[in-house]
Amino acid sequence: MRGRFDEQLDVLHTQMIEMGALCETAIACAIKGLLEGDAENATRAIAIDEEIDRMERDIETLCLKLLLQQQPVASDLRKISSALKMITDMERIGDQAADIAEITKLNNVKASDDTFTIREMSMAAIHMVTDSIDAYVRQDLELAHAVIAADDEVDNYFNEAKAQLAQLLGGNPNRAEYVIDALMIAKYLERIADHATNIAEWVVFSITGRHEGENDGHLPG
Amino acid sequence: MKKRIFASMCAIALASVVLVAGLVIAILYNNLDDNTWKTLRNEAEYIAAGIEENGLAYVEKVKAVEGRITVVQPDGTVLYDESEEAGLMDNHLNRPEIAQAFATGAGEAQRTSSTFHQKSIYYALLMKDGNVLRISTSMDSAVATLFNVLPALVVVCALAVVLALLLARWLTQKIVAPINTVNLDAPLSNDVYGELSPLLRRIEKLKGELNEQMSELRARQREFVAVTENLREGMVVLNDKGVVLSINESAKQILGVVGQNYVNQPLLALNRNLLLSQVVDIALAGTQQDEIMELKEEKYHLMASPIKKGELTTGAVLLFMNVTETQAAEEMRREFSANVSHELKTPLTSISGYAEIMKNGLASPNDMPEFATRIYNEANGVIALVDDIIKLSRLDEEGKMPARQMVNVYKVASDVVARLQPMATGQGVQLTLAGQPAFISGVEGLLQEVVYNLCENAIKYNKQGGRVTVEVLPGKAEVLLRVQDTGIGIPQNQQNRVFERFYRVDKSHSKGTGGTGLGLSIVKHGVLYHNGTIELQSTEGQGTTVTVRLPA
Repeated sequence: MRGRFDEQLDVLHTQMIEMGALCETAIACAIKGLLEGDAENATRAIAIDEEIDRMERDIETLCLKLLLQQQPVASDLRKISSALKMITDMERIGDQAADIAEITKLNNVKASDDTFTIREMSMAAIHMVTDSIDAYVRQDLELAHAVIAADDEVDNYFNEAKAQLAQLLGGNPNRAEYVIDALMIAKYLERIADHATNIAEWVVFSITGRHEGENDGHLPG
Repeated sequence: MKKRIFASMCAIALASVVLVAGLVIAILYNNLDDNTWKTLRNEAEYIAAGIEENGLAYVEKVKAVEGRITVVQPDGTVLYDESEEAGLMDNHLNRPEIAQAFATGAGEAQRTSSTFHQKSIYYALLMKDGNVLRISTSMDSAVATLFNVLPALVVVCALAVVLALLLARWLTQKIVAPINTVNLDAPLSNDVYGELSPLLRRIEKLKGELNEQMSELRARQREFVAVTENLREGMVVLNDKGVVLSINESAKQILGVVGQNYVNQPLLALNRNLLLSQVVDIALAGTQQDEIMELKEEKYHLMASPIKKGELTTGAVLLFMNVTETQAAEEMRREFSANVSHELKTPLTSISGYAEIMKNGLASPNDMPEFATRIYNEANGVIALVDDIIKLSRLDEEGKMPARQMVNVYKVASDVVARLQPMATGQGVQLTLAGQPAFISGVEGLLQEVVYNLCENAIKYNKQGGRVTVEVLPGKAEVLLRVQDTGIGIPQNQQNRVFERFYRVDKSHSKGTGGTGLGLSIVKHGVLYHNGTIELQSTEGQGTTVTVRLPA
C-alpha cells in the first residue's frame, strides 16, 4: 500500500518538475521573443502555455486522487496540498509568459527600443522562477527564502520602469502605444516574480509545515 | 530450539515423575492393603477368642484397635455394633462377608464408598456360639491415595519443570553460544564440539566462494568506475522511470550538479532542459536518439540509447559529447571554403574578362601588353593563393611534414632578409637583422615561411622611410624571434583576429598590397607546429612587434 503511494508521490514530484521546466522554458521563450523581436519564440511560448494548462489539470487530478484514495497525513498531506497550490501559480506564470508573447507579436515593443529596465527585470524574474523550482526540486529551504527575498528587487525594477515610461510618455505622446505595452510587460514580469515568490512560500510550507513569516502555531498536518 | 529442548526435557521429567509416582503408589498400596487385611484378620481372631471366653461384654470393653466391631446373630440381626445402636440396624445376612462366614466360617469383602475416597474392608469370623464377629475398617482407596500424594507430586513436577527449564537454557546456551560467536573470518578456528564441525567446514567453503565472487565483483566495479569516471564524455544511466542509477564526473559537470545528491533522483531534478527530457522519454520508449543540444553555452552531442531486455526497455544510457569545438571547426571550415572560393573567383573573373576581350579582338594591339600584364599578375596571385592553401592544408595534416632537424634560426632569418632586401628597398624600408646563431629542432622550410611572412607583412604595411628589425636571440630553453616595424600598426580590437584565415585589417588596402590573407595564419600554424608561442603588440600608427618564442 505504502509502496504504491510512494510511487505515486514520485510521479507527482516528477510531474511538478516537468511543469516547472515548462514554465521556465515558456518565460525564456517569451523574453527571447521580446528582446530579439522574434515571433517564432513568441509563438512557442504561447504553445508551451497550452501544454502547461494541460499539465495543471493532470497534476490536479493526480493530487485529488491521492487525497481521496490514500488519505495522506503529516508531511505527505503538506506535499500534496502545496503541490495543488503551486500548480496554480505555475499555471499563472505560463499565462503571463503567453501574454508577454502576445504583446511581442503586436510588434509595438521592439528589441531596439529602450527596454533597458525590462531587460534586467526579465532576467531577474527568470532567475526567480528558476530558483523557486530549484528550491522545490532540492527541497532547499535556504534557496526558497532567497527567492522570497528577491521579490523586492523585481518590485523595484517595476517602479523604476514605470517612472521611466511615464517620463517617456510625457516627452513623446506619439509613443503612447509603446509605453502602454511596455508597462504591461513590466507588470506581467512583476506578477511572474510574485508567483515565483508564492511557489517559494509553498516550498517553505511543505518543508516546515509553517507559512513564511509565521513563528508559532501549527497548521494541520 | 530452546523451546523444543525445554519441551522434550519437561516431557521426559514429567513422564518419569508420574510413572515413578504411579509405580511406587501401586506397590506401596498393595503392601498396605495386604497389611491391613492381615491386621484385621489377627484382630478378629483375637477378639473372637475374647468374646468366646468372656462373652459379649468383652467387646464393649476392648473396642477395636482399628475398625469397628459388629456381632451378628445367625438370623442376621445385629447383636452389637461399636458405633451404632444395634437395634436400629438392618438385617446383615445379605452382606457377602457375613453370608460367607456363616457358610464357610470366615468371609471377607471390600466395598468402595460412593465417593471413591474410602474403601471399607470387612472380615467376618464365625464364632463358636454361632454368632459372627465382623470387624471392618476403612482405608483410603487407591484413587484417594493418589489424591493424597498429588500435592507432593505437583510440587515435584513443578520442580522438575523448573529444573528442565534451567537445564534447557543452559544447554541451548551451550549449543548456541559457539554458533553465535563463531568467527566467520576463520570458522575452523572455533571448533568447539564435533557436531558443529560440518557446519563450520561448509561455512569455510562458502566463505571462500563468496570472497572470490566479491573480489571479482569489486574488480568489475572498479573497472566500470575507472572507465566511466575517466570518460571525457558525460555518461548517465537511467532506470525505466527515468531515475538516475549512475552518473559519472563529466556528466555531473555537464549537467551542473557537482556535489549534489543525484542518484535515485529523476533526471529532471538534475536538469530541466526540455529537449533533454524529450530525448530521454523517447529513449525510454525504446528508440535510439541523437541530438545536438546546448547546455550552458556549450554544444553537446547527446546520444540516448535504450537498454533492452528482450522487448522490454529497462532503462537508458545517455552519453554527452562536447562538440563545441568540433562544431566551431566545422563552422570555420565552411567559412574557409566560402572564402577560398571567393578569393579564387575574383582574380579568375578578371582573367577571364581580359581573355575574353582579347579573344574577341576587342582590344587594340597597344593595350595587349597591358592586358597580358594584368592577366599575368592575377594568375600569379591565384598561384600564390593556391600555394598558401597547400601550405596550410599541409600544416593541418601534421603527419605529412618532413622530419625535424637542427635548424639555425639566425641563418634562416638572414636568408629571408637577403631575399626580401630588394622588396624592402623598393618600398623605401630599411630592413636589418640582429642577433646571433640560435638552434632549434624544427623544419627549415616551415621556419622560413614563418620569418618570411612576418617580414613581408612588416615591409608591406610600413611607411616610406620606415624600419623593420629582425632579431634572433638564443635563450636557455627557447629561441626568441622578434620582428619589429615602424609601420601602420593594427587597431586594438582587431589584433586577436589577424591570425584568422583571410582576415584583413584594411579590406580596401588589400588589393594594393597583394597577398592572400593567409600569411599570418601560416605563421600561427608554423609556430604552433614547433610548439612555440606568438605574441603581438601593436599601436596604431606607430608600429607592430611580433614576438615568437620557439622551444629549443
